[in-house]
This record gives sequence, C-alpha cells and structure tokens, in this order.
Amino acid sequence: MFNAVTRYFSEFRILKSASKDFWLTNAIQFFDGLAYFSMITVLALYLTTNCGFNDMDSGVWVGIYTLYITAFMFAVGSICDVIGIKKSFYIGIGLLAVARLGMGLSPEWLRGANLQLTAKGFIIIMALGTAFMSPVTMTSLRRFTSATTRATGFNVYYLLMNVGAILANALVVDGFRNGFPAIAKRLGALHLPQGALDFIGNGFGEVKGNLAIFDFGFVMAIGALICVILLRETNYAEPSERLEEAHDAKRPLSIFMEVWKEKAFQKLLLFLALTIGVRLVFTHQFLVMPKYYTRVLYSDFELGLANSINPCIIVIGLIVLIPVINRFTTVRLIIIGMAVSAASLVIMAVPLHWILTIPFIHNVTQAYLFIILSQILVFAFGELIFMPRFTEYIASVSPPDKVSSYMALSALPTFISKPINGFVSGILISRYCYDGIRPKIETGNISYNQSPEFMWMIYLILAVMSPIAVIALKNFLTQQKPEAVAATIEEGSAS
Amino acid sequence: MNKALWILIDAVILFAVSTFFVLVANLAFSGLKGKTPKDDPIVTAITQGNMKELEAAAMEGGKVAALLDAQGRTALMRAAYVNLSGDTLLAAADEKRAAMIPLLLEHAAPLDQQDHDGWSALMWASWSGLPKVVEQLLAKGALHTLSDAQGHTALMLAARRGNTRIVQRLIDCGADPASTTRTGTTARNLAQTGLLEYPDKQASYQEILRLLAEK
Repeated sequence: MFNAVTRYFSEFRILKSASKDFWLTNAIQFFDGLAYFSMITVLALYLTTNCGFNDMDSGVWVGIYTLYITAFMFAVGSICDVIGIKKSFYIGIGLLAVARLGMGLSPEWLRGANLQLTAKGFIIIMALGTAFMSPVTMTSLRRFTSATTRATGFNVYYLLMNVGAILANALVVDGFRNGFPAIAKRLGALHLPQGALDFIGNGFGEVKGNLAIFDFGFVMAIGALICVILLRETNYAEPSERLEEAHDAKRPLSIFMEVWKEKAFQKLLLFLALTIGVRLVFTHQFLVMPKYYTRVLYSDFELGLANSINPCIIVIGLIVLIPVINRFTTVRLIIIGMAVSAASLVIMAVPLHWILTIPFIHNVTQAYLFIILSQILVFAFGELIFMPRFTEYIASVSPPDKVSSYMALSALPTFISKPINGFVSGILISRYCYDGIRPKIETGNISYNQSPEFMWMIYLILAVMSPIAVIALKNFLTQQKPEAVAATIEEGSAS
Repeated sequence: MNKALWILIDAVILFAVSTFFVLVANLAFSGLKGKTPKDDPIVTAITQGNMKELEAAAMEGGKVAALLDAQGRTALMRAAYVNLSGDTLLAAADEKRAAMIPLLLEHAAPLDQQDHDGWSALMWASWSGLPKVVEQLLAKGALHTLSDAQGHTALMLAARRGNTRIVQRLIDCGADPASTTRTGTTARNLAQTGLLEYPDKQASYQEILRLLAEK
C-alpha cells in the first residue's frame, strides 16, 4: 500500500514544469468544487425548509437543476470555443455568483409563492452557470498542460475535486448547520469570545445554516473570479494546439446530427439506457439521501460527514485499488461494478427488524447508522470499479475520429431520466420517508410497505435491472473490431 | 458572428427540449402528484421557528383550522414535533414551539384531533421531548387519555423516549401508568425497553421507572 501511495504521488513531480495558469485552473475548480458539493448536499433540504417546497416539488426541482446542467453542457463546449476560456469562466462564475447569492438572501426577504418562483429562477441560472464550469475547466487544463504532463494534470484535477467534496461536506455543510461541539469544548479553555465558541459549537442551525452554505458559495465564486483575472488565456503549453483549437468550434447539435444514424452510436445509447437504473443510484446521493438521513435519524444528523465518506474512499481507492482492478476486462468490471453498486441498496431495503437482530445493534438509531454506513461503503466500492471503466467503454466503442462526440452524447439517456427521477424521488419521499416518520417507525405504526425500506426496495428493483440487462445483451453490445477498440482507448485516454 | 448565432439557436433548442421533457414528466406524474398536498406557509413558518411569519400566515382566515397534511397532521401537530439529538437544540426548539401553541389554538387549530395513526398533538410533543409544548397543550385541556392505533398513550411515548419531565407532568395530570397497549405493554415496560436500548440515557430511564413505580 505504501508503494502504491508513493508511486501515485511521485508522478506529480512532473508538474514542477506546469505553468501558473495550470495551478490557477485547479484553484478555480477547487473553489467551485467546495461551493458545488456543499450546495448539492443541502439543495433538496433548502428547497423544503427554507423555501416551503413540499417533498414532491423539491425532488422535481433538484431533478430539473441536473437536467438543465446536462442540456446546457451540450452548448457550452461550443460557446467556449468561440468566446474563449476567460470570457467563458467570467460568464459561468458570474451566473453562479448571482444565483448563489440570490438563493442565500431571497428567503430573508421573500415569502410564499414569490420566494418559490424566485428560487426556481435562480435554480435555472445556477444550472447554466454550473454547466459552464466543467467543459471550460477541461479545455483550460488541456491547454495549460503539455502532452507529457497532461495525464498527471488530469489526475491532480480529479484528486482535488474529490478533496473538495470531502472538505465541502465534512467542514462546510456540518460546520454551518451543526458546528463542531467537540472542538468547541476543547477551545473553551482558550478563552475565545462566547459568540465564536457558540458558532463553532452549534453552527447556524438547519435553517440559517442552509442559507450560509449558499452565501459561502458566493464567496467561493469571488475567489474563483480573482483566479480567472490572473489567468493568461494564450499561454498554450503546446503551441501546436493553438491552430487546432481555432478551427474546432462546432454547432452544439452538429455532433448529434453527425452520429445519430451510426450503428455504433445506437448500440452505445442502448447500453447507456440499460445502465440508467444503476446510475440513478448516484443521483440518490443528493436527491434522496439528505432527507432520508435527517428523517430516519434526526434533523441535526451530520449529513456532511456521511457524504464525505464516499469521496474519501474514492481517493484512497484510486491510489491503492485501481492498479489491481485494471487487470480485468472492461465489460466484466462494468457488470461487477454495477452489481456491487446495486447491491448497496439491498441492506437499505431489508425490513428494519432484521437489522435489529444483529447482535451489536441495540436500537433504531444504531440500525439506521449501520444501514447508512454499509450502503456508503459498498456503493463507493462499486463506483470505484464501475465509473472509470464506464468512460473507457464509451471511448472503446466510438469510431476513432468521433470519441469526443460520443463522450459528449453519452449523457443523452440520463438527460431523459433526470426529470423522471426527480418526480419519482419526490413521490417516494413524500410517501415513504416523510418528515415525522421516525417516531412512527419506532412505535410500530409503520408496516414494511409504508416504510423507507420499501422505497429502497423499489429503487433496488430498478437498479438490479441494469446488470441483468447488460449480462443478457453482453454479446450484442461487445461485438466490435479489436483494432478499433485499441485505437479508440488510446485516443480516449489522451483526451 | 454566424457561428455564434447558430450556437445561440442550438442553446435555445436544448433549453426548449429540456423544458418539454419536464412538462411531459409533469403531465405523466400529475395523477400521483395531485394526491400530495402542498406544504402550507404555516408549516414552513413552524419549521423555521419564525413566529412573525406564523402570525401573518395564521391571519389568513380559516387556514390554521383547515390545515391537514397527507398523514392527517394538523398545524398543531407539526408545531409539537421535532426530531433533534442535541439537548441545547431541543431546549431552544421547545422554547420557540411553545410560543406558537397559543397562537395556533387562538386560530381554531383542533386541540385533540388525531392523525392517520391516531397521534394527537400532545402525543407528538411527548415523543419529541418538548416539555414546554406539553405544558401549553395540557393547560389548554388536551386529553392525555387518547391512544394511537397500537394503543400508545402520550405517557407511554414519553416513557419510551426517556423524556423524564414530560412523564412527571403527565403523571401529575392524572395519566394512568397502568394502561396498556394492544399487546399488553405498559409505560413501565416501555421505559425498561428504552433502558436496554439506550444505555446512554440510563439516568433518565431510571428516574422514569422510579416515577412510574411511585404511582
């Protein structure tokens, strides 16, 4: 394990030669990641608690937010090619700053239908801003890294993104909502002002804490904006790419028009559609889990800490496990990874009294903590196996000259499923995981078919369909020429 | 310029297609959606602990009296429920919620109405551990004899959760420690179960067992 860690980090030495602009891009991404991951954890709770959306509507609007991000992302790559990196960053960060500040402040001034309408408007603005960040960051990283430093540069980006997710959840979400009582106790001896100790010990509480997370997002946007000002857009690490990029700008829909009649693309779409069930589990993390955690446990549950476990495992897994996992074939790993991810829901779907028979579990709180922790661990392991190979599969089935088009369009099936999942999650939460269900569970007023476990059974059935369908159609999906696969994997990993 | 125009047109098409999907999904789910009542501003004000907003919302004639959510809970029940683990937070919530009870009752919130599982506002407050809310409800004449579908009374729920002050107050009001659930369980049995399940609240449960034994 020590060797794996040393090997992973020794690669980063190559980045000594990377330009200041490469590090500024990473700083922008880090600031934005802190804001995004803390915001997405509380978005569904914010819409319900701060804006008065019911469970149904909050689910729908979180779904709509992710849908518009996917839709806008198709267009942003081309916009960035036309107007350039800095202007794209300015637009994206500007939109995010306005939306986050608006969402942080509007519940202080507006009420009822006016507040809800305003929140919906800001969600659409925020989706547009969020859609800008990822493609522009990718273009920027590519521009500021040379052919020799590119792979390592993207590794740093991925590592920082996950570190941002860990800090956003463990420090920002829990810090603003609940504080850190244990730390406040220790700091008590230092004679700090009472106000500071109160904040460290209790945070702002759920209602003000949610708003503070959006305000924090605004501050992060300002930090990112300062980095953009310092960015030198024309500082290409590979001067030869300057000319290539100038001719790259395309109509956003042209890539779809180019490939939609191709057999390979249709086959890819089928594969992606088959995997929707299990990929929806990823969206549960922000659509369902925050409400599930705070309702079956308690409202002041440290949901940030729970949500930081997944990126922690991903970071460790990337360093230690990937070299081992990579010995297996892509399709086999996708199937295993999907099966493991789907299996993570099994423990959530079994009747609670089964969990209560486990010797070291004595009460409902411990039972739910066990369920939640087990799901997070198993799911993270599945994700670790599944996600990197998923991207590789898309690259491998694409014709060599159209890898990026296929990559961009791989979001199509989730584009359709996102609003549907928003509605479904809203309906299921309002029926099986409503605010106030915990006392009813503890006093035996809830039967299995009225319980949160039943909700997970529905999701489990949807998720299990994916690996089964892929196994059933494995031969059809993997028919391709070996030389084309080799060429496309090479190109896919380079891009 | 021409290229930028095409990009803009495509962006508008993508926005329109996304919106179309949302509208189709909305239409497809409208049957199920219609059965989920909208959250009322009264509930939002209660959740946020915002007394000023609650006053404003309650002024809209008849809303407090008519409010009923999908589980059959009234505004009073929503005010009587919190699910917090920290004692400091619980005490603060108790203070805020207790101030809301007289206002809701003034606006004709039904005092002893029971939700779909048979819980009254007093039962919600007894489970939640809100002694000041319990005090307010009892002062207005809330019935402590009501029981839910399983036969739990407010006293049993408070004993199950280890809420000592509430158990004491309910006993003082004449709640019967000998009454049983449908399976024959008493408040004492429930406190004993609580003691086994939550050893960290040992002191509270032992005090409850002492109070119940005295009666």
